[in-house]
Amino acid sequence: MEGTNRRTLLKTVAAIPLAATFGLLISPMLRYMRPTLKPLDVIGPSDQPIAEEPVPTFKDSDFPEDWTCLPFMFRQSYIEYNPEGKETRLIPGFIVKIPGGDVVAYSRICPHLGCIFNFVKDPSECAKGYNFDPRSLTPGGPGRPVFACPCHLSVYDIQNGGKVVSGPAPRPPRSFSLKKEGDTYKVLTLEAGGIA
Amino acid sequence: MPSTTAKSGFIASLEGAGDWLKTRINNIDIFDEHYHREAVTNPFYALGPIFYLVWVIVMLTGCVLIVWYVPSKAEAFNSIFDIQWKIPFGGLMRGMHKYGADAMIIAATMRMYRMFINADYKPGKEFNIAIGLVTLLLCLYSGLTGYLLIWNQRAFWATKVFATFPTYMDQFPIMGDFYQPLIKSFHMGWNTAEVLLGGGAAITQETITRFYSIHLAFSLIPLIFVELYFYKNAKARMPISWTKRWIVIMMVAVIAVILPAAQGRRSNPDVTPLPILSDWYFLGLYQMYKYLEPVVATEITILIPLSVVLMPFIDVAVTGAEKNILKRPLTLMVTIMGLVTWVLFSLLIIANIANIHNDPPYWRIFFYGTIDIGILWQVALIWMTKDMRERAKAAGAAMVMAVIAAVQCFLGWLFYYMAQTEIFMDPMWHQFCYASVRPMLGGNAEQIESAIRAIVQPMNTTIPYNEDFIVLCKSTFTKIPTAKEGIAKLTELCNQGTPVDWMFSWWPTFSPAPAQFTQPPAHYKGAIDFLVSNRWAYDYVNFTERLKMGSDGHGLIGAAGGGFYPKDVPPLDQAWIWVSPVLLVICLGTWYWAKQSSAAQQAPAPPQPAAVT
Repeated sequence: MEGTNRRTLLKTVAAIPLAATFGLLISPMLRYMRPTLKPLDVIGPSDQPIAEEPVPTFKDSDFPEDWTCLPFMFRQSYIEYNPEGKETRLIPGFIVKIPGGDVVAYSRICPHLGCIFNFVKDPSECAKGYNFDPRSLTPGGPGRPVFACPCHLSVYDIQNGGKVVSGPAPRPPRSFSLKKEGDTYKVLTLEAGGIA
Repeated sequence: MPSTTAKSGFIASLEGAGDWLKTRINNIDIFDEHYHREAVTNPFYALGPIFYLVWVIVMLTGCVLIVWYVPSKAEAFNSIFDIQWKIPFGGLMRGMHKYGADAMIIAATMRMYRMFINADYKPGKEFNIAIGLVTLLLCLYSGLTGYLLIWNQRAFWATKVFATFPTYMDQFPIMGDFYQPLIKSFHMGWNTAEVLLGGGAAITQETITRFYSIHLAFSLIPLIFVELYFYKNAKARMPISWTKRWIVIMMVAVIAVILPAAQGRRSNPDVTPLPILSDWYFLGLYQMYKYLEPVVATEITILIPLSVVLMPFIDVAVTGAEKNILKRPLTLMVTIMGLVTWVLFSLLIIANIANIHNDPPYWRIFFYGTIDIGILWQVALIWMTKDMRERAKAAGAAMVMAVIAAVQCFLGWLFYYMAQTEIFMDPMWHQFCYASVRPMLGGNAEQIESAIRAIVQPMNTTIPYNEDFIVLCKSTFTKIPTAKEGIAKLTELCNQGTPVDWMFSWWPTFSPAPAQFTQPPAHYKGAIDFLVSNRWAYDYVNFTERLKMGSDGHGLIGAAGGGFYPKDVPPLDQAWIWVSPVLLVICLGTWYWAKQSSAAQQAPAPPQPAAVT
């Protein structure tokens, strides 16, 4: 009985380096599961995606009045260490002129769970469909347009930096950085994170 | 084989654990193969065999479908259309595959409920609940991977939600990204999502390929193990008559003919339809994701299966070998709670009538209320026991319930502050840590807080995690005139020494990840530097600010959706919060009382070993 125990113990001890060796052999195979891994960096973060030309461009004359909202598609390439080397995705976005003259652009991918949210111009429509009345943003006033997501009813206040005013979203939608050259707006990069 | 030789100490307890495990492994029951006799008279005990039968149907029809299905982004939807309408009996095959899968989920779920109601996990069969749950989860994941293959709108958006929610694991305490300066984060959530999606942050061709292979593997690999199990144990696979088998087969086939499986519209990654639903078995979870903070919702999604696995052990600890459901009220109430919540959540999302702002208090009071009724009922049963020996045994049961009540107390205490300030989880934990270190900082604490108030308006600012607070302020809040002074003041305060510096000075700072490994990391100067840079001080200021009530009876404006902090704790929530300590006292009282009765009982004298002559 005692001898068997000793043998079992020795066997177990001998198995540890063997298991470690096989583990090391298998670890590069993890890249089969996740080709975004950098070589020799199994637990690291992925590379951030980068914008692809041509970037969406708008003119001042595209926004005749406040709350003009234009949809656009932003090409983004995700680096993958696979034969193609990358995967290009189209990220839907909204560019909005808010009162006061500023123009802002947001990714339409909801930061909650990745659905595509809508531009809801009519406050009564938002009150009906999204459990939130934008008229409460301007006490006594007519309310203002908001972004609202149909999946889990998150509502974002566009004028207030995309602040979450209702629903489960943990943060404002990811914004695009804009560059103004003369009378044109160029959509340059998208804030990191999110599943497209 | 129980160890009978008298041994003591560590080896004996190891062997005890080994026996305990062996008993449970020997008692494993996958498809009710130990209930052949019951299955003849009680259809609920035929659920296992029915499950196996439907599984075979699904696999056979699946074999037909893979001949015609094209797993590609461009062709998937069309090939499903061809299968449904152009191929002889294609619609029937697809319908039987889909409704068969639904039947499997229904059978597996009903079987779980039967096991809980009839206490089929007693005695020594607790693992069967876990195995039943794994069966159910495999069905659910097969369903999920299966309906992406149709490549319609519902499939696409359900997959997106399913693949995104694991990313919130990165915000869990300890295993998340919060402690990046201390250890290199595993990015567990993000990695999970990327592996699910086929290695990338988007639903693409790789996702279809991966889901297709997983969909097949989730049936083929368990099939091998199940057949080996049946073969090794010489068990009958389907102990039900051919008449009954045909009834099940015809049920699936007839539904497939009457109600052809829907195809929906081709997926469009740029338009989310309103309202968007998942497949029926995930609807309850979908509704929960509307109500809750995503991190909490993700935690609950993981906690549900864990609690199901734990339930039989809790039940055995509370009621011993008792099998009558009316004498196991705690299990009964938890079972009812789970069923009612699931059904009602699903109905609410189908009818689209839920209000995410007004409903949650009702759900919380229902959740805690049912469990509390179960505990009270169970305690009442203990009090009514006449048998002194039974009563003495109940001390352990009362203690287990006291632990449950204590957990409720803790959650209630936490919720009381969360509801008032809308500060959740990690910021709450940060401010708690800061508050406990605060007395050690001396007069510096007030200066830190006033400096932070000068820099940021705590109400309307979102401060990101994993960034040095002062560095962040320098780059973000330069427009505010008071900010500059505040930042200078904070930087100066960070050099101040405190008696607790030794606890904080060895922590590495938020230097970017690559630099951490090529050069020795920078460390914090001391407690104040750590607390400020890690935004613990900011979280404390934000928390105390939100709790403050002005002389006009109003707090600060800035609550989500407009309104004031501190918010009122809803009366329904106050009910369960205040009931929990009462419950705890009752449980502890019962424990003491049962202990007393066991002390009053005369212990029989241990048998004396026979004298060796």
